[in-house]
Amino acid sequence: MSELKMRELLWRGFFTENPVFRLALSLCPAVAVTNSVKNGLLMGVAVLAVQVLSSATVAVFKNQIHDKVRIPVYIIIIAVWVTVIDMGTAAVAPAVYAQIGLYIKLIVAFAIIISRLEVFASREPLIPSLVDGFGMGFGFLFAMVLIGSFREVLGNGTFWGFPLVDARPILLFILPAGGFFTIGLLMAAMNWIEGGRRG
Amino acid sequence: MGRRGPLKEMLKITLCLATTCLVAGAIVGGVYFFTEPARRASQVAGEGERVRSLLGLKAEETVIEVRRYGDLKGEDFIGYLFPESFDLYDLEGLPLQKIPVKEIFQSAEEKDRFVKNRFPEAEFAGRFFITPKGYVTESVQYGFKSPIRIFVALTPDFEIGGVEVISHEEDPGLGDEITKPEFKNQFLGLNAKELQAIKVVKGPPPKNSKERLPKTIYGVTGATISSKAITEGVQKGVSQLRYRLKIALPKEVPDE
Repeated sequence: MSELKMRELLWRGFFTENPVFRLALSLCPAVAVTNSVKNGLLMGVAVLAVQVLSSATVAVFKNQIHDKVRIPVYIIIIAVWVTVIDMGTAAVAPAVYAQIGLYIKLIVAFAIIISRLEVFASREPLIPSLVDGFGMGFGFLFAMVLIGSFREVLGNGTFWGFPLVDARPILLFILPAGGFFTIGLLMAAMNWIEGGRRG
Repeated sequence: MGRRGPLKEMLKITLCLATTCLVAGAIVGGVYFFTEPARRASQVAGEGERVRSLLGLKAEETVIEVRRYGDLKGEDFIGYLFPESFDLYDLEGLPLQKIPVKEIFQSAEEKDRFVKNRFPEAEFAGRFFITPKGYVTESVQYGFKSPIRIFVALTPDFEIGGVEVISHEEDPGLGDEITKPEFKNQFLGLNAKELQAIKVVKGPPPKNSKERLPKTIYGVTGATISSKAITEGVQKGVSQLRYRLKIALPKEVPDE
């Protein structure tokens, strides 16, 4: 695969087909956990890991997976990776697990992961699937951090827990409704940027 | 496609799903087998550390874990397993017998085995810790979707010395805020009477501490159920500990 196509694949997941801002997938968990930057980042890292591993698994075994039951099989693959990562971190790095344990378990139900398996990894070879997984994972991580920053600064007046402004924050942005407002505003901003890029 | 067609297809699908599940089960089982001892060891170490930090214990001060067992099918007793003896009481709380313990236990599993060997029907029914600076009791309360385990530390005069969430599966960003000191520290210094009269209101608390209402726990914004669960867990833990200590160590309990 050419280097150009690789870069395009990465950029696609990151920006032009960003899972949250463009594909509007996994909005529910995105809203639930992004009331602070730290939460957003940890969730993003966990999703990135599961996405890359699941994409690779499906890309390798796609010829063995029967077409009619592919969705249940994908779900089992995702669940296995989530469980393995969950148990592995709990045993190897308890301190890290105390921080991200809650997030890992949520990933089984993420639409973005299964959609990448169905749309991409089940049709393409291993290397492009890996790149696509990385791109989409990073795109998700980027979106989570961006939404988290926006909400934490406006809704709590802090960034990564450090106080920024000594004014009464807008509590709404921490609450779920504020999450949807934030995503809407950021989507609009991205449309505006892209429109500007095209001229 | 002949008549065999659909049947063959069904077989293939079944085989595919069955193989996937078998492989998935084997992987998860294998990983569990290798990681579980390490996870449990770190959990036990973490719990010991939590008990010490809740009461500010020094390294040389010892913590005694007392495990409680109930046997309602065979012999009808409640037993308290101390390091030197296993004390049995009837359901009214009157002493039945003291079984001396010669073994030195290394883990909770060994204690459970000791009890099970003598009373196969006995079930683990809660535990607490005795330290030179007070008690820590474990309490389990159902949260938003699964049980929350907490430790409640009590001074010798039965005032709350600290609350610690040991394990929970509340939602990140909402329910898991119950683990933050801003919420937990609201219980500090309450005595048993104040605790039973307390009520939970929607947070966040007013910034000026003078505006805070008395006898009130301010819940976590967006997580009233989790906040109530912790409050009820603390109330339950304290009244259970008082009841249990009155039976097993009557000299130690202050009057209400």
